[in-house]
Amino acid sequence: MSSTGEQTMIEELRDMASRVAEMREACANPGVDTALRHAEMYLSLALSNLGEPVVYPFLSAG
Amino acid sequence: MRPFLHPASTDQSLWNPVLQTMSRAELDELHLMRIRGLVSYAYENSPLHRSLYDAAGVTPADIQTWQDFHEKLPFTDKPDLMADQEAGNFPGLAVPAEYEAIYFQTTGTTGAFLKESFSEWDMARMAQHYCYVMWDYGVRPHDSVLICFNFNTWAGLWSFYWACRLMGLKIYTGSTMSTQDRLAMVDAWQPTMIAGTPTYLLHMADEARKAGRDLRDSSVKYMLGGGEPGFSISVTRRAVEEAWGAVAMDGYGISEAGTVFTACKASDGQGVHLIEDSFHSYAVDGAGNPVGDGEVGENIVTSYSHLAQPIIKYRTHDLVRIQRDGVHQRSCSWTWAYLDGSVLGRTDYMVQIRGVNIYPSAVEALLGDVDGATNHYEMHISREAGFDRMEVRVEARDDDIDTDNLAAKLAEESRRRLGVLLEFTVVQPESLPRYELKSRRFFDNRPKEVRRELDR
Repeated sequence: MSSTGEQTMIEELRDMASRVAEMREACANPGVDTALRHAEMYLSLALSNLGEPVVYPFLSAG
Repeated sequence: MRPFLHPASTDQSLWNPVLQTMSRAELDELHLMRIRGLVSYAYENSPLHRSLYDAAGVTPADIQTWQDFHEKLPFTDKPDLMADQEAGNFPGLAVPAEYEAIYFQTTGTTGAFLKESFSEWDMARMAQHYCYVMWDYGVRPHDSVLICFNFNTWAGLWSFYWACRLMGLKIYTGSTMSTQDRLAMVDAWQPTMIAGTPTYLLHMADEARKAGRDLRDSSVKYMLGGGEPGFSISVTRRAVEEAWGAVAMDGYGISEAGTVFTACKASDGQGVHLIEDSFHSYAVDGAGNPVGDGEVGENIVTSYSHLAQPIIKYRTHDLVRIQRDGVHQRSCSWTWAYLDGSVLGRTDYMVQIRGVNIYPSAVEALLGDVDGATNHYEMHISREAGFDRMEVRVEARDDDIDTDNLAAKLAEESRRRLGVLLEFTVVQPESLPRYELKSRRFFDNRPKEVRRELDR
């Protein structure tokens, strides 16, 4: 479905999303947590825009 | 300072070349994967969907193929959501309260309002729906927009606002302002785009003309319409484009799901593409079976962009002609399914006059072809001696037009084009009400027992 370049980008985006999720688990600063929540959401949007499943980080679907 | 977008992105002709040029086989594979995930999600998180699927004796595991989707999964309809709402629930809700980001209501011209809830994720995805059309027409982050809607409970406006934010446009809000103030803003701030209902944008041009101002000289190059189907009707589209000297960008959506279809520049007002990144759509016949490619049927929509309140296999009651095969042969490069002629009519707004099926869109289209008539009109349906009767009230273009003569010409045109002699009453210019959002044009005065469902 994806070209090699797109597949590499997908894998890197997935890795970044996982790292952001991990950071949030250890985050006790609402300002930082909120910014990371947005980062997580827009990383998911980027993945969706590359034809990956439509996944809202906190509400898995598709 | 870094450029706002990578130059290679700015030079792209498509907002998302990966998805907008996918092959039909790849798109269908993506749809089935997303639909299966969405059905599982709705079953687990929305009590309404669980009850509907339980009543139909179907579980998410039963939906593996397109045939399963078509034959096993029940349709959903607005009355399902309304019944859930009347039972005291937030209709179809599938997220915890903290994930609800914004509330809307349907803007139907009849019936009770339906409550709508969207998550932040839903809004981020809804925002993209407008980016496809804006980018295709040439709108870029250096452009600016004057929004001539009031910020109310209409989902379309808010998703457009989020789209402008997402793309990086400069936003000027004309919310709650008078027409004169908005016209002054056009001159003061020089926006390159304007957004409003097509009839309101025409009204602005009329007001400007009265004040001796020709908006064709303004900075506005693009117009985005919403709230009514005006830009998909060639006469209205032409009138607004001529009045502003700008291009009109069309879309078609339903309040429960947002903008589902969007124009591309090459469509030139003749049709719209399904936003296949976010929606699945197919057409069915009266028995609920899929019709062939390019055949007219009722549009059935599934949204991947409304997880707060899932919309799955949802009956729109809009009649459409969906083309999937051969879309790539059109003059644009999109592979996404195409609605030839956009929305052709409503299954529930259709009126039979002396045995002939009449749709409001067909009547509106003929108004533009009769000299002296305008597209400011109302349709009044009544029932007399067991038959439906339709009276069309239409504004004359000028005060000095012979109204009886014009009415006769319109009636003759309806006989020639629609096969039935309709009744026309020509009224004076500016005597019918103007609406900023969703013009009310269809008045059904028939007894309730014969009236079709009209709650959209």
